[in-house]
Amino acid sequence: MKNMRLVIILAALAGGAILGALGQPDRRVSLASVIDLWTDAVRDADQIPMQATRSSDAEEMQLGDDIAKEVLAVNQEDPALSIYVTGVAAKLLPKVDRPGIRYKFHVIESPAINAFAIPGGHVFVNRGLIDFVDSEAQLAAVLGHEISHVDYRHCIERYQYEVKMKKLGVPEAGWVLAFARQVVTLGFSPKQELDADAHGEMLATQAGYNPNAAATLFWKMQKAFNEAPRSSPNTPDAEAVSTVAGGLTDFFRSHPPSQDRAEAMNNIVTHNNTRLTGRRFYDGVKNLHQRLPWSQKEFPDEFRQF
Amino acid sequence: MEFVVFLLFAVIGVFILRWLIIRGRFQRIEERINLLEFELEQLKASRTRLPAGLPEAQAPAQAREEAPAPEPVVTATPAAPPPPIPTWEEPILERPPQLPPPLPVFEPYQPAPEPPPILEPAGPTFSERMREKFSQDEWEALVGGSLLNKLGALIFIIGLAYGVSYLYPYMTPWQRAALGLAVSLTMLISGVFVERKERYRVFSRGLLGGGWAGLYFTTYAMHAVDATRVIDSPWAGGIALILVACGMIAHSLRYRSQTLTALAYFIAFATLAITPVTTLSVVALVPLAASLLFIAVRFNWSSMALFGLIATWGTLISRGSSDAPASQAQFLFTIYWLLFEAFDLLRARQRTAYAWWESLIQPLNALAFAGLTYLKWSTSAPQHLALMAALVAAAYLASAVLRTRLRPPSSFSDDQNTLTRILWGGYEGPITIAAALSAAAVLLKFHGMWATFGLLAEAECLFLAGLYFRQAYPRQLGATLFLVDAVKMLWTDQPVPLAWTWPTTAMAALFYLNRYLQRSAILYGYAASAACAVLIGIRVPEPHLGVAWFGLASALFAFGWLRRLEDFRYQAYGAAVIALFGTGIHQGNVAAGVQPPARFPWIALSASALAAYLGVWSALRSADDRFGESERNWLRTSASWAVSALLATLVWRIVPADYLGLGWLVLALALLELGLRELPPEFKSQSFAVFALGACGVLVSNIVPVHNDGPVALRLIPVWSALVAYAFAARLQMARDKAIGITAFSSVATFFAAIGLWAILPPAAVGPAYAALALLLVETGLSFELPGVAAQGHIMSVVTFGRLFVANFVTSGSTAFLSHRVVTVAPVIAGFYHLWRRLGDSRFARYYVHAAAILVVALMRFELGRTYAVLGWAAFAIIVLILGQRRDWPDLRWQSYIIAGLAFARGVATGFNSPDSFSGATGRIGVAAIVIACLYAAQLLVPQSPRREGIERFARTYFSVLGTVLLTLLLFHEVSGGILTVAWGLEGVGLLIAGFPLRDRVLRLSGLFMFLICILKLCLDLRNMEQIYVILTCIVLGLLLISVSWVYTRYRERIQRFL
Repeated sequence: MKNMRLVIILAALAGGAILGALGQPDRRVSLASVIDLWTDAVRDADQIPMQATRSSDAEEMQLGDDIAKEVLAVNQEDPALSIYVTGVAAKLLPKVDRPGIRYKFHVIESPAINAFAIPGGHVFVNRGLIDFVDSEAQLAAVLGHEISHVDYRHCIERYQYEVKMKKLGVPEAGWVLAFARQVVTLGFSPKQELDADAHGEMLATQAGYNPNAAATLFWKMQKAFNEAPRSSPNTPDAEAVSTVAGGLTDFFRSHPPSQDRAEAMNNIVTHNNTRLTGRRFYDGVKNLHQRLPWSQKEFPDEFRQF
Repeated sequence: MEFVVFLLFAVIGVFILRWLIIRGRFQRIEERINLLEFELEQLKASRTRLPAGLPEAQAPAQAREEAPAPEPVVTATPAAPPPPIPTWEEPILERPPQLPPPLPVFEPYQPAPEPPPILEPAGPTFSERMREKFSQDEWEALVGGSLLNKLGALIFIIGLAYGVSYLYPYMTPWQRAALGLAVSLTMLISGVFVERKERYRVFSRGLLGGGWAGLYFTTYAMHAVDATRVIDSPWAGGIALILVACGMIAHSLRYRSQTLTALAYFIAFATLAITPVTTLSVVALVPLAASLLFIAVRFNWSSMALFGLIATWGTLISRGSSDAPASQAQFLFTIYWLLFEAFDLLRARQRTAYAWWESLIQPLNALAFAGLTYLKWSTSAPQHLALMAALVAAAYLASAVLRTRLRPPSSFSDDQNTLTRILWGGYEGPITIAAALSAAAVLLKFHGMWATFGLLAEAECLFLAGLYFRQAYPRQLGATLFLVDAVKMLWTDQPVPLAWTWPTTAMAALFYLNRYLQRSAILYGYAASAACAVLIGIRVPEPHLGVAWFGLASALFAFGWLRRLEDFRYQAYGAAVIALFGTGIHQGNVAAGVQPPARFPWIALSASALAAYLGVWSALRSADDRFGESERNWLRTSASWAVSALLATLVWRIVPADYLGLGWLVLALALLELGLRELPPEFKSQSFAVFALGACGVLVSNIVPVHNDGPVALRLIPVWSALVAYAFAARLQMARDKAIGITAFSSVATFFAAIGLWAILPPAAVGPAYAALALLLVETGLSFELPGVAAQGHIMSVVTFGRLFVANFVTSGSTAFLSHRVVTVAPVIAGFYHLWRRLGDSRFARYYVHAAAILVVALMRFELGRTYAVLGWAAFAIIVLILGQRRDWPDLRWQSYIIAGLAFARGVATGFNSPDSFSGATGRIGVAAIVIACLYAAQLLVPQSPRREGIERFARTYFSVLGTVLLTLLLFHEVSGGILTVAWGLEGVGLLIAGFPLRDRVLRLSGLFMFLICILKLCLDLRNMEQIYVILTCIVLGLLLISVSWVYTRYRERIQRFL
């Protein structure tokens, strides 16, 4: 019996090795799994005090308004484009988890390819990003990503301790706690970005935008920012160095590599394939060029069958 | 100026000579005084202890009868007085090398109880005695009367010489000669007259010496010095000098004073030294030296002979090079040499020990003779230098022959070494000089190869002479000459192959001949073999050197083995070492690119290895009388090492570089097999060394530069190496040779296997492969009771565990819709569980079950995502809980507690909201429901009765609370604020309803607790909630509470049974 069990297991191991070698084997080797497990644990632990010290939506929006004033004081807003962006985002908002937040979208006159959100629902998009994207679906993915940061409380959680402690009359304690949390949650940022990507993808997809738009955008960003594709070390020492160094780099970076984000988007689409198959999704290339949101004008030829 | 310097040195020399003589005299006087004082004290002591009334003659005898024999008295001070010292005038032909004769023992009459007599100190110390002597007249007379006057005489003669030189412009030669004669005769006559008086005897000797010297010089000057030349014929002048010398000798003989005679001769020599160089001045030395030697022989004044030798040769040397023909000069040198050599021969004939100054005569004579001969001939007729060297050598050979008669070797005792024999007049000295001069003649006459042959011939003659006459020394000289010849050839003869070939051949032949002629001369056998080795070295091309030397070694070994000649066998061993060295050098040159590789390198190396193995075989199979035990063992060991080294080199040369380490490993395996079969047993230990070499080779050539994307054949090498290494370890295991580290060899194999698998498999497949390897190792270790191998399996398990995290959990590939994560990690988990069960009670078992659980949890995390992992975790917790309950495996139960806690925590943290899923609230609620259901199921699986001890007693409560809290939070997230209180109230009702039939108090208490929360929440919500929701909430909650209360009241008795 023992021998039979051993033979079966060995056969299973051999089969696993063979299957692992077939198909399209992923040659990536890194500490990403360990970092994932670590950040999982820390994020789980972080949620306990976070949920205990939640700010109300009103408090968050008040804080966001204050910050937005400061941002707009040093940046020039493009009202026309802001209107267009708000029109695009309007199709995403019905599915957010926090309906109590009043989202506001601002387009800033800046050539940098960037967008960011602050607490309370203020989303800022640079003009350079709007020029960079190829379709309204890609812009919707970006907006969904920034909305998700707010929806998942990523923005307010950075200020949560400060707000609470200030309310209790000890703002200094809030600063200390906020700083301590920043240190503890150092590896959060890439994970939060990936979560925001996924949630934004869901918002955009459920709004009817093309699910592949986000992945396409990230591949384009990889090229535009000259991000080196992930290499596969071919020697043991190179593998060890790559594993450790790559893991540390991933841990301390603010955003994941565009390649990882694109692959994550593809995986999401793959995992939700059954829900998406047969549906029609909108690209909105013309809408983007004409600065007319899909909600205002629909071009039939912008639909794609999934 | 030169004259002054010469005078100064002469004075110093005289002082030194005089001081030596006086010192010796004082020592003898002192020793004699000590002896006398000692005897006197002895006599006094015996006289005072003699009992009264007893006749002196009987006392000692009686004492001997009554008292026990007294111990000899020993004191720190000179207990044994020195022997009687002969006077200076007495013959000192034989120095007493032995200890002085024992003193007569005075045995005092003394009663037994009394202590033994203690000797008084021997007398005043040397310094005290010297002070006494200083105060005596004798010392003053010695210094003032003897030394000073001799010094004065010397100065006077010198002044006379200067005066003559000064006055020569004003005086005729006759006047000058007459003046000299007058002064000299005046001194001489005065001396004779004065010496009659005892008081001036010492002083008179100075006058006599000076007079004779002056007379001699004047006679000399009458012919030799232009200013005083009155005798034209050199022969007349010479005869006159001889007459004066004879007179001096005759006069000195009258006094029998060595000092006086020496002084006279010194003056004579000094006079000749300062005169111009003429034939007569040189020839005059002959009678002077001859007369001196005659006196020395006549009166046994051997130190006079040394003085004469130094003075004669010194005077001659001080003359410098003359214009005389070389033959004439050589004739003169020969006469001088003959004089002193003859003296030494006569001395040797006495066959007694030499004084130290006597020992110097022969070597100094030879040195001066040979040196002057060389100087003369090298400047005047260098073409004949070799001939002269040969003639001088012949002269010394003749001297040696004579000495074999006059001082035969049998006249020496056996314990007298060669140096003593040389110094004491044996034939060894002259024959040594003859040999050296002959060699010099050969070297001067011939060059290159012919000189080598000449030396060889001379050396062989010496050897044969020694053999014929049964004398060791000539043979030793021959051997030395052979050595010199060899060194000369090695050092100077060029070009090497041409100039060395025939001499080396001749050497080898002669040496073997000598070895044959004299069986005990085994060194010649070694030298002959060395010559053969050199011959091979210079004639055989480098690629074939090693095998040629091995051939020589084989031939020597075969001869030594057949004839049972140990020395030839050892020569064979030496040749084999050289062969190995040559092989190594050649292979090194080939490796460095200095030499091109041989076309068929395996031929030479195989032949060499075969030759070495034949040595091993002979050691294994030969009869007992062929070898000594130690040699047999040594041969077997060293030859087997040679075989191993040669085979390793063979592999190195014929196997491609990438496969070199593997080749060595295979060789190690073959050697191990031979070693285990005792062909010979040493191969076993050597196989370890070759294994280490191979392992290093694989490490350097295949492991360090390993790539996982290169040619498959190269990437497979570590795998093949691992298989060979495993075979090596297995063979050791089969031999039951546990003393040797099977663990070490299998560890190397495991390391190679790990690297090889990494190189040939994609990253995701490496983990399962490692796990399979770990399984096999652990199984092997357990089956064959090899804990070291099992430990390797455990290590590989750890590596596998880590590998899965860096390669398999991060992979995103799939094959046929099967995730690579699942298909690669799941079998590993199964393997870990198998090992857990297989290891039983081993301490490693728990690690495997926990590692497997961690892998399951991690696999679910990465396969299902961060949020939905809770699904798998909850299910897994149920499974392990069931197993833990049924099989009573506490580890599994604890795993279920922890995994349930993880699922709970993740659910709380994420709210079951997965960003990766588009399922929305449906998905969240569905997942949460499953998790909560699992938690409650786990609660129900845990028995109510507290079967467990410790904290496990609260397992049921734990699962129940987790489920209830999760349910509460789910409602919190999914139900809008208005009806949340109602929802929670319903939850409380449900918990209560479930708690009764299930007889679960925790559920019921949870339900009640939920009601409490609802009341509190209602109180809080009253201010903010819309009116309608407040009303609705209050009604529903109130009804619920009433209902519950009613139930509790109505069915109190029945409920009581459930509680």
